[in-house]
Amino acid sequence: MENKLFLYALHSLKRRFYKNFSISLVLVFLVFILFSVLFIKTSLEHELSISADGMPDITLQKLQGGKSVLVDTSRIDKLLNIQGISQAVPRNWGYYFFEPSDANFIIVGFDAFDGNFQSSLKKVIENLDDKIKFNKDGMIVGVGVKKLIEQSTGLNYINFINNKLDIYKVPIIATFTTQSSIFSNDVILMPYNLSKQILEIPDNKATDIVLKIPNPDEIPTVIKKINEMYPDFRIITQESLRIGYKNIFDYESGIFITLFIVVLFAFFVLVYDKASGLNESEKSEISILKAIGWKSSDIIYIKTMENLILSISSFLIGFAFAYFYVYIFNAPILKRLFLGYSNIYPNFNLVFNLDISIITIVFFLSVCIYLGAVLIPTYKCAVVDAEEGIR
Amino acid sequence: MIEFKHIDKRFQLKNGSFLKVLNDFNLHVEKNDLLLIKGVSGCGKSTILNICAALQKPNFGEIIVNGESISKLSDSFASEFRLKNIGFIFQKHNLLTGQSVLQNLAIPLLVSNYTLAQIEKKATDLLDKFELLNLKDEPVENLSGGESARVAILRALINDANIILADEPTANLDLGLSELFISYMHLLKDEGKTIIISTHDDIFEKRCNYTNILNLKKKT
Repeated sequence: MENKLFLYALHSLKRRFYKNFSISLVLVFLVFILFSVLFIKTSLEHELSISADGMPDITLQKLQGGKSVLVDTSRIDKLLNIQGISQAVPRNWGYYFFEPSDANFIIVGFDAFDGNFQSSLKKVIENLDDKIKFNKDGMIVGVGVKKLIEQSTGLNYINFINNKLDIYKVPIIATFTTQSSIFSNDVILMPYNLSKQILEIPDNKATDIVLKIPNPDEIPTVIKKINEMYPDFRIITQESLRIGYKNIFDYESGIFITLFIVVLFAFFVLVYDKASGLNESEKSEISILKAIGWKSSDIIYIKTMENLILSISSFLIGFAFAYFYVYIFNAPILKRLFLGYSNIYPNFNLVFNLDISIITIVFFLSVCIYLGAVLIPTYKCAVVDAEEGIR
Repeated sequence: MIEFKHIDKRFQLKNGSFLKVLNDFNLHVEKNDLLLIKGVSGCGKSTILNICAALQKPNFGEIIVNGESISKLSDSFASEFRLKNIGFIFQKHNLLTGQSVLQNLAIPLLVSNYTLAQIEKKATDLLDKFELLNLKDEPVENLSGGESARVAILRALINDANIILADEPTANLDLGLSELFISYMHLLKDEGKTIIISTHDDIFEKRCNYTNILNLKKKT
């Protein structure tokens, strides 16, 4: 019997083709937007996490008058006396204007490749050969930097010029991973001494000091001791960077909340329309079916089937569209709204990261709510006296 | 075969008051009777048919059909009862638009144990018997008033019900079609069906071979 009723449900869908098609369009659009936003969100979070993995365990910046100033590298020796710190190295960073591309790059000077930092850096660097020594002439660049250099000069090196008009020819020895390019896209990582010369940082000074803490459980104790030793340090942990990254994303996703609201509003208008009752034609059909011998359960079954087919097919189409849009076409327009600009717009690929909770959320917001909105009035109509609708 | 025993039926009006349509109503209809229920609008003709088809429940009293009391049937059993026993012809025919004649005829049997092939054969045979086979695939919205009435009759017959209830069946038909309808009823009576027709159309008194007539007066 169920098979016959299922065929009837299919036929009913066809019978009200234009009405069902327009409902399906709204559902597909809703599912597409929800999945696109959530796919991008999950992928970005995943990539932000990868980027954070490549960050130092602790970064120390000296504050003066509430702003960051250069720190004496002589503090490093004292810091190394704190139990739990295995390595402390100076780091420089600053902006470099690359005239051929009319773009600013961020230079980071960091002697970390022979020490414990190498393993974490390897996570965010493509094709880093263990044999490559980070010599004074080499630099690791973000994907965007490499692209701009190649486009503007066709070379694989930059001739850096400082204010004293000294020229430093520095070749590219590796690039950061595309997964980490949200933050590394416009970054140039180079040896500490070379960065000092290009950025003209005085001897015995650095922008900040980065620490390696092998045992994460010791981080709170280490922070406490650093605070006691140097109260003017701002202490930035990898965990706080992760939170910071997430906050940047969450702030920008506010735009999407607006978009969500618009789409959800459209959906709930549809739901309200359905939940506010069936139209006369639908009521009449239910009454006729009851009057000719159908049970309320038969009617609810066909209505459930009709709307399940409609909503699940819309769900799957919306899912497929969102998948192609985000992971095949790399989410044009939508991805930009998620990302802030630094100096070069990061051009990274979103990587599919299946999260069952996303599917559950979207399924609930689309299929479950829609089914509820349709089936409640159907049930109400199906259980009252049939004669009302056939007078 | 059909027995109404002391049936009361009242309806609540929009102003909150009650209209008593049937008051201690009693009726006995034998198998193969053709009963005419006559009266002006609002006198309770349709209510009697609806109660007989278990589409409405009486407020008081008992109705027995084929030896079975149907006054207090649950919604589910009432549907089952209709499917097995009742063929209902509505005043407005109430065919489902967007479906063909064949599909409309098939609908009652979709919830029966017949297979789709059996349903199609039954519907086709019925159309053939009443010379409507040429309309088999026609969408019902394309039918004329007379064709639509005939399809409504066939739909009431598809489940082999032994009781045919017709509510103002000729209200929208011209004289010729009304006579055709009556001839169909005679045919069904000859086949042993029990028929109850509610009408205020005088043509039934003049042309129909009824076995009994019940004249109702409007309640105030």
